[in-house]
Amino acid sequence: MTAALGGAGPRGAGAQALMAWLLLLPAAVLLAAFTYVPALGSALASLYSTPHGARPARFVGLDNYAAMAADPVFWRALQNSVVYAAGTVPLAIGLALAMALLVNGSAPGRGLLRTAFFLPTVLPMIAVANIWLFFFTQDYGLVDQLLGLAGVPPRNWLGGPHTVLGCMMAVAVWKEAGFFMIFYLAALQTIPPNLREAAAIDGDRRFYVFRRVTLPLLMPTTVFVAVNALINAFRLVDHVIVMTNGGPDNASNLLLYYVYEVAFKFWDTSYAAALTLVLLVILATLAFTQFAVLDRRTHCR
Amino acid sequence: MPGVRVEGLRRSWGGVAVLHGIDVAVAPGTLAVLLGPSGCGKSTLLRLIAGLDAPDAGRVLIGDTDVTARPPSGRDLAMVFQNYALFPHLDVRENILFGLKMRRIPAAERARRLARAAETLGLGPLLGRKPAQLSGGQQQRVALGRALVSEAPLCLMDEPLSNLDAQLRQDMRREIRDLQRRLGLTLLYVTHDQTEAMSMADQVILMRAGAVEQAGVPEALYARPETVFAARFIGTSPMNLVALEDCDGGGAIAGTSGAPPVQGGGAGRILGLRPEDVAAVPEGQAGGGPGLAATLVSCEYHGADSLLTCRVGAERVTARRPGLMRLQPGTPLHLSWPAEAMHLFEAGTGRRCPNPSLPDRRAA
Ligand SMILES: Nc1ncnc2c1ncn2[C@@H]1O[C@H](COP(=O)(O)OP(=O)(O)O)[C@@H](O)[C@H]1O
Ligand SMILES: [Mg+2]
Repeated sequence: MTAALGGAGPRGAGAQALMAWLLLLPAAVLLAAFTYVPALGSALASLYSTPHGARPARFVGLDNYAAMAADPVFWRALQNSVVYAAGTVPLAIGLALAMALLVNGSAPGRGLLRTAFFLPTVLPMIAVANIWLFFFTQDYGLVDQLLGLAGVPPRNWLGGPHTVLGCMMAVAVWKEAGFFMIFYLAALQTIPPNLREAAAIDGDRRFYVFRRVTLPLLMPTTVFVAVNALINAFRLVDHVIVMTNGGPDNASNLLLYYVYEVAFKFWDTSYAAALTLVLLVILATLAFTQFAVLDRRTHCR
Repeated sequence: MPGVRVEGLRRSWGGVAVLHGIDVAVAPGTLAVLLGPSGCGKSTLLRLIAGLDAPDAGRVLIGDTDVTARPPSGRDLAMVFQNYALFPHLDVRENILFGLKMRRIPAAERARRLARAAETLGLGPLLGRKPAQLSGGQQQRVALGRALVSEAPLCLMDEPLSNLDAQLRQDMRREIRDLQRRLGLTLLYVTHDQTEAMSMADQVILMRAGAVEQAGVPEALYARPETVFAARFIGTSPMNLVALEDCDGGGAIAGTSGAPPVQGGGAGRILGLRPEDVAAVPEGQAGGGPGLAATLVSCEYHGADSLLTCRVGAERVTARRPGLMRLQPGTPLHLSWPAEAMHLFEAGTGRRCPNPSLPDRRAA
């Protein structure tokens, strides 16, 4: 085996490459069948019109994209998605880090706290959405009850075009932060306690130590979590389906929800394919930039 | 320079007592070594002095100030950790300057201290490197540099050389001792290596199972171990410790006849002999002086000397002889030692008892 793979001559190198390809083949086949072929299929479909009964699909070039550029709902959904991502990603990361720092210490009851923080992660998004549906109920919901104590008048949170997107973001942050906390917690435990102790002997500015030591050492985790959070921001719309259906007046319509709507409510599959492709390009661009930028700022290892 | 004093320090982990009331005093400007086998509580003691853990009882005094309730940063000390605790994402310069920046020392002063430490420790060419790009010895220097620039008058070191190879360890030992003298630091140094302790210390504090077994200058621990444990722990080939039994007119090594080596009874006592104090010569060449017949069991050559392990009665005794000895196992030998080389211990308590063959030097 070693001899066959490790051969140095041209024949050895050829055999080695063949072997490598053979080993990669199963994964490559699956990846192609379920990822690249459908993606290419969508790209092709977006260049054709949607077939209707007797009328077959015909090639329309970039017509679907032109329609998209002129579609105010698309622009609204895109804008909502950007706001949604820009809000939920930093909030979820910040909250995850704060919770991890809180339960990483040796405070009493931290086991319970960890479980409590992690619980939203194991709940299905549909269940989470139903819980929050109740929280946001006008007058009787938890949010209004609590705000009522402070004298704030009740309002229709999910019915208001200015509040509904914020509500969706709150649900997502609540659901995701606990999951990301686990990664931060694991990373915090790999930081040798000696580093904190060495710093404690030098001085007691805890925030300085956090900024100069803890945060940089957590950078690889932050990269990982940020990429995941960003992808999730475009990927998770279960709560929109359960709670608002994108309304009122598209105020909570996110890009992926719009794809779903166009494909399975309006049955305009070609236009949905075009929308999907745009979403795909956005996600790929974001992920690659993020890796490139953050990786350069990851000092260690 | 302040000294350090520790009074009645106790600490337990999860109900298990690790330190049972430690009293230690380190004179200002001296190097004291905390010596003891692994797990005896050396690191725990050092961490209590540094303030990284809190004691269950007792006090820590630095200079004449009780610092027991102060956080580590309020004790004006520096510490070198066993694994160096360098920040992996910062280069050597930033590692060394970390504490100074945290304490908001002005930039000019920082630069001065950095330059001096780099000069002292030969770190100049390494300042831009990350810890992962340094060898163990270089990392060790950086850790020392970080302690030096703090200019704290008291420095604590926890087995700082244990990750280095033997040659480097010797060099660094000398350098640390040199620095400590030059800067007049009070240095408390932890090690489990008795050679290191003996060669560096002004004072050796020997610990065993959470208590101080014996403290004193290295010569005192070597020449007059107060317990069997100290006798066995100090010395490069450990002291021979053999059981005595009663015989006519005194005590003799179990299973031997002939001149009793010890006056007074033998039962319940242990005789200690350092290998370097035992003279072993082949039976025929013996001068006929008093001594014991023995049989060679094995012969180990160490270059400058050889260690001869011999059977004497029911016991084994090791003798050290300079140079190379080529003797077959089974060779009959004649062992002798001066009366003042004998250490006597009580078997029950392990404590030293006076050597009745001599006027006790301490008592005299
Ligand atoms: N943080 C801790 N938790 C529980 N036990 C500890 C802790 N630190 C030390 N110990 C125990 O205390 C004893 C002494 O440890 P230590 O001071 O590290 O010994 P040494 O440094 O002499 O090798 C050991 O038995 C160790 O298991
Ligand atoms: Mg230790």
